[in-house]
Amino acid sequence: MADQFGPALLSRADGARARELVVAHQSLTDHLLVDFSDVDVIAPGFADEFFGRMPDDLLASGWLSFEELAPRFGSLHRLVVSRAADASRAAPAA
Amino acid sequence: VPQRETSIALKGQYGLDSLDQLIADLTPLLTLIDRTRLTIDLRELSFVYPSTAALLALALHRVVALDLRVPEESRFLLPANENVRNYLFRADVLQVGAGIKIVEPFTRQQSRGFRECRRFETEAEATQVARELTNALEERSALDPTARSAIYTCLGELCFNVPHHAASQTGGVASAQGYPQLHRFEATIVDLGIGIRQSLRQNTIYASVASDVEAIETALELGVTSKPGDKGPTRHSGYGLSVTQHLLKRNGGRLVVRSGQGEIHVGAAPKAQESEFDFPGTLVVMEAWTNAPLDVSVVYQELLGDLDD
Repeated sequence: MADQFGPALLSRADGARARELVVAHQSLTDHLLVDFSDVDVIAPGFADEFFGRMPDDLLASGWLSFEELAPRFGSLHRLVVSRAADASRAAPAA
Repeated sequence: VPQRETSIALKGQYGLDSLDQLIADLTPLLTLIDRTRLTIDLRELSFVYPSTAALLALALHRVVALDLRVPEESRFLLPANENVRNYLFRADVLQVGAGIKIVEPFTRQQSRGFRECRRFETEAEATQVARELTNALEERSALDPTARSAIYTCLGELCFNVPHHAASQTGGVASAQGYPQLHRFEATIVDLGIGIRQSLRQNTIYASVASDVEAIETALELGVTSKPGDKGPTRHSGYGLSVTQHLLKRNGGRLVVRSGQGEIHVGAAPKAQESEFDFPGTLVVMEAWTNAPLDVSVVYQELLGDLDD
């Protein structure tokens, strides 16, 4: 991530781009590992787009995993995933 | 065609408790709609806080961008105090604001911990401004990595609010200053856009918000955004102001938000007031102590706890 987006993952647009990159690899590989080495800042906007909007099945199936995601980002990760799930449940069915 | 005359005078200093006076004194500039002979009188300005620098720069920029002054018949009366005058030069307040190139009575040095006032419009520019101001504060106030990360996060979120929500024709201006001997810093982000109340009204849930104070109080809550939705590039989730206010409350610092006639201070010396002076945009100030914890991960844990409750 740091190589692609720099050590500070701030913007919502970058979060969306990063998520789209991950999703685009689904048909290309059996397993995808996203490396957070050297990332020293993750802002809520980026996290909301990347972690909060990531399709659940990619992580649940084990296809996607994260490496070197510092423990200090754990609470942000849980927060955005939890709120995204709440928002998804509250959204009216299409 | 006879030209109008417009004068403003800034006097003394405008700390966070006198933002209303700063806005009152700048109102002739902020509300100018006709071309005018302009006099900017800064002779009695005795100190420049980041909020003063940022707001003055953006007000001047608006006048120049909208071609509202008659250049050859307009005047700047610079601060009598040499230190204040040189700070305005060094911080590029007049350059950013009015495009004025000044023959400075000193040679600029690349100084650690100092960055000029910066105007920005796009998300990419907002990212760069947040990074540079964070670096400046880190250099000047010797921040630990946890505090640096927290400040970077909040400055990023607050700067993004300008391109995402302000609909400002003149972008935003950011300014920051560390005061290491006082263990304190202040950072200001200001825009002359539609303001928080009008922005929130884009979300039908908040269409009935009745005052600027109520709009600001609403915008400080987690999850409040003018642009909700479940997908797409314009979807937002309302983290920035909420996370910043929790961070500063825990630090003992202060978040000040002024928009329209509303002004709210959260954290130290909290207050909410409606002013008689309308501020056409949004001004956000972070004030924090560098000798007290600034840990944004604790804020996320606190917000998670609230969700669990």
